[in-house]
Amino acid sequence: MDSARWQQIKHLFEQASAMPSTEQQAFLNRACGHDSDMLAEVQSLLEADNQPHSLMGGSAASRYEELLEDDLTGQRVGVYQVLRRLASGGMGAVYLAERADGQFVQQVALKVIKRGMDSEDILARFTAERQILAQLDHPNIARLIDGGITDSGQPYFTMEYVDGIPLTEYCDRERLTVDQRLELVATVCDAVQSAHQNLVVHRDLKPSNIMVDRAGKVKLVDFGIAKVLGQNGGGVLPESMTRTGVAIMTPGYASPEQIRGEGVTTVSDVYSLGVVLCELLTGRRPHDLDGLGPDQIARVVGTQAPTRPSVLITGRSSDDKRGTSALERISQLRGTDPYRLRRSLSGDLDNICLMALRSEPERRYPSVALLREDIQRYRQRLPVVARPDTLVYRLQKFVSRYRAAVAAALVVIVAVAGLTGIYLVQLSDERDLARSERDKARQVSEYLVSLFESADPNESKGEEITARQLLDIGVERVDRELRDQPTVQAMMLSVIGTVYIQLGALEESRDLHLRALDLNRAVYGPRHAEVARSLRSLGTVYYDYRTFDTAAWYYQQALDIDREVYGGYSDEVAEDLTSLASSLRHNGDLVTAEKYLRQALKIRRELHPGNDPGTAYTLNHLGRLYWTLGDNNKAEPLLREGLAMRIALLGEDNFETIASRGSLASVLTNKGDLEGSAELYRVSLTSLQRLVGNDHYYVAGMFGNLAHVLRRQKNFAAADSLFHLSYEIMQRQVEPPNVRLASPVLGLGMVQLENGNPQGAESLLVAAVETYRQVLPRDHPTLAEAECQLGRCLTALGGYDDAEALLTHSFTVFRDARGVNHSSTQTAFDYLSELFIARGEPERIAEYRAPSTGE
Amino acid sequence: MERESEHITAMLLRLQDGDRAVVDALLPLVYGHLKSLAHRQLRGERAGHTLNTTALVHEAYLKMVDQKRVSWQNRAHFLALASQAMRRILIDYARGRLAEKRGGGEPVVTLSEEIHGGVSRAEELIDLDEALIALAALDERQSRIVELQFFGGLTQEEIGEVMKVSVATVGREWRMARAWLSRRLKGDG
Repeated sequence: MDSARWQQIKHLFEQASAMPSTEQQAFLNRACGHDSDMLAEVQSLLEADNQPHSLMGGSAASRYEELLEDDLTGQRVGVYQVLRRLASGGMGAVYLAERADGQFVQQVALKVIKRGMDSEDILARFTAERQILAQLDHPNIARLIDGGITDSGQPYFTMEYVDGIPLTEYCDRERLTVDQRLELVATVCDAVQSAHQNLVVHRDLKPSNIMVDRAGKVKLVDFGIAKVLGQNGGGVLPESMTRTGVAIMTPGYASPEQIRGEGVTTVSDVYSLGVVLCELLTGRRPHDLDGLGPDQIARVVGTQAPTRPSVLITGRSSDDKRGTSALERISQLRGTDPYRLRRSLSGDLDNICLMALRSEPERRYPSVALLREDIQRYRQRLPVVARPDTLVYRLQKFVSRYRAAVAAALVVIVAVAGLTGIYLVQLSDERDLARSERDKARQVSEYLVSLFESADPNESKGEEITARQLLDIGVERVDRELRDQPTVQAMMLSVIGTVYIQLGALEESRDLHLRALDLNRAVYGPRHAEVARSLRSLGTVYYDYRTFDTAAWYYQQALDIDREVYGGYSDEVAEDLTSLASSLRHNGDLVTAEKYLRQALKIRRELHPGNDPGTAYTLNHLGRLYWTLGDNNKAEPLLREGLAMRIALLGEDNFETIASRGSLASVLTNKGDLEGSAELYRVSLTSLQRLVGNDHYYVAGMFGNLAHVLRRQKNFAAADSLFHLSYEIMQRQVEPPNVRLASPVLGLGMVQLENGNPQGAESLLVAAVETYRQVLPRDHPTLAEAECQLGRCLTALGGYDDAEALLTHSFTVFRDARGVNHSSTQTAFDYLSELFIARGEPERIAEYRAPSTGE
Repeated sequence: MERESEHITAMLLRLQDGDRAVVDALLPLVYGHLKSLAHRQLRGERAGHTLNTTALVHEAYLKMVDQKRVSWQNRAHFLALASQAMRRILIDYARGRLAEKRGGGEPVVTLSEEIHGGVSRAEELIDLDEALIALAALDERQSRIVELQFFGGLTQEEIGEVMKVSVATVGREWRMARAWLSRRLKGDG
């Protein structure tokens, strides 16, 4: 066929197929004229268009699955003749069969395990399903009849055949009203509850498993992945099977805990029933999961709030071009109009659905019976138990939604809202904020709520909003809407600025805090606590920039004001002193830093005699100061006390606790208590892995810490493999050049060097030094550490001149930054001594010893 | 794995620039990856997730491509490649299945389509593949649209993006292709 003719046929087909069939013939006669071949061609295509081949109906997916299956149609299985296949599921196929032994006429559903799926797990599950069904005797649950093994060795069983259609389809076909639908759901609840009373959880409730037969009777089918709870099912489900069972479910109806692979209970069925209820009421499911992969589904279901039914009926922009007519259709199918439908859904029915759909199992209806009761109460116009989520809950939910990115920062928000009494981490803002007048806090909290409502997937067209975008929107709205309320505006800018710090957006944070500072000065005058708060936040921004002079300057200003405002003894002053001291410590002013930290500790202890996060914070800083000074005996008790407080206040799996434990471990390492140090790192590692998973540079760093201890214990093989592990994770997590990447390389080099292989060590140490030089200032102690190792390596290889340059430089850096008594200064001195001895100039050792004895 | 994803992402970006040679380099990688994903499902490790080509193709995308670096146009291109790979995988499988049933390529005496349902389905798929080749000779675009929709499970919007045509055009072309293929599959073609 030539191309022109094909185009002509195509054109005619398109035109004709777009018109009513009654007009097609006349049109084609006219258009084809005497070309009868053309007429026949287009006509036959139109016929095929009316009745497409069955293969063209679906996608390849169903074909692919059927390929795996031996079709039993037409065969005899036990006493049954297989008539046709009804469905294929995850682990097997279901056929319609009838008794062929002439005893009596009975149609049954015959379920056979799929070939290739007959692993032990699945066989066990299959057997379990039979036993479960045998236990269940309820008019609304399909009965088990019998079972056996097919000729080809596949287990099968037969059950009551339900000649019906799925619940959703039935309701629409019969145009059932909202109340009739609720009545049916109540019946379903009865059946599920009865299964629960037999200690059976269905675990895969969905419309296609809830059938309605020709008589209008509801039947639950497919307890294929049911789980038996407790002792009574003893031995029915081996442990391995229930574990496998978690993978078997239907996204869209599965509860968040099922998707996460966690324990499944009767309340998981409550969730699935919530989805079914929602779908019956609105024609849609509460989450739009179309086209999402398993991970995305887990995230959406686990973290996003389900859409309220009354909102759901208006549709999502993406799934219906004819939004309003879809609503019309949904309403018609429920024998009502859009206005009435929405009115009947909003309020109690919304709340009932949302309560069943809560992502935390313990916040759902505790049982299917109670869900049923609430439905019945609604039908009888009685007040229902379900209530909308509270503000506190929504704030918590908000925090959990962005946990990974901004956990600490969002805790600030909860505190700002003044809704929780828990004392929060060291960020300086929150306590001040929590202390602010109640109505201002309330204003701010309402504002925050409205901000995160814009992060609601329903309002942002299903696109997930990142924390960063949310904040950007927040700034915009604060500027626009709060212009005439400078106090609230300043507070909001400050809160958002603090969250920006957590996200690493330091410039944005600085700009917001500077604006807040201006506003606060204008409103309160130059010597006010609010002004000091802005100054302190700016100090923190510059601290994070590692610009310690600037940070110290801001902290000092904040301290001066706070002393005027609060007097000498207050948390604010202690906070300022601690922050100022840590900036000074980084700048090498260790004497002043110690003095300030001692003052801060004194204030903290007098104000809070027991466990207190502020005290723990100051203790930790003071401990680290002594560690920097090389005074491990002073450092250890302080760090131990701080750690104990944090464990008591914050628990084990907490970043602050982990930081404390890390500081203590490095002190123990320096003291030579390697066993103790390794143990602390191992505990921290476990906590970190629980907090951030395995593939995180925090974890890689902790592997590195532990590896260094093992290296010191001369367990070189273990150290080497941990450094490799650390490097592999880092490589996935950070872009070179980055100090985090250099660190495990340095470790690998040190292992080689100490294991008597300076040749192998050289290239590694060079690589580490190169990376540090690209990233760090010339006199940074971390760089000096790597140079020191390379110097030692070159000494061993005979490169004395280069070695001397490296070692003298690192010695000077350590001495100036950490003092002569610090272990790193001592180490550099030792290496220098090695060099001079190797070179035959032992007298030069004295040049370097002199200053140490001089101090 | 990280490296592979970088490599694939870089190639995908070149594809966007119209570098056709990239298809030759990329398609085998996508094919290999999809095949192992499909194989895993067939072995039942993911028992219960209904086997779903759409999910497979999208999963491959998530695993193989650094999403931070590519636009949604790149995504459509990847999905198109994956559909092509998926077609190969399914047809390979159907052929293997058929050969197995026929005892290594021996012609089989079919008593009844019903009894040998498994075989007939594999045959159907192979017939469809051949029909698509024939359709491609007449209308390349229609053939590709069917490939994308049937084997890759792409939505009409995604297909429109790949083919650089409107969604309405995709719908029209699909309908005609469906009619043409149905006629051929039902009758003698």
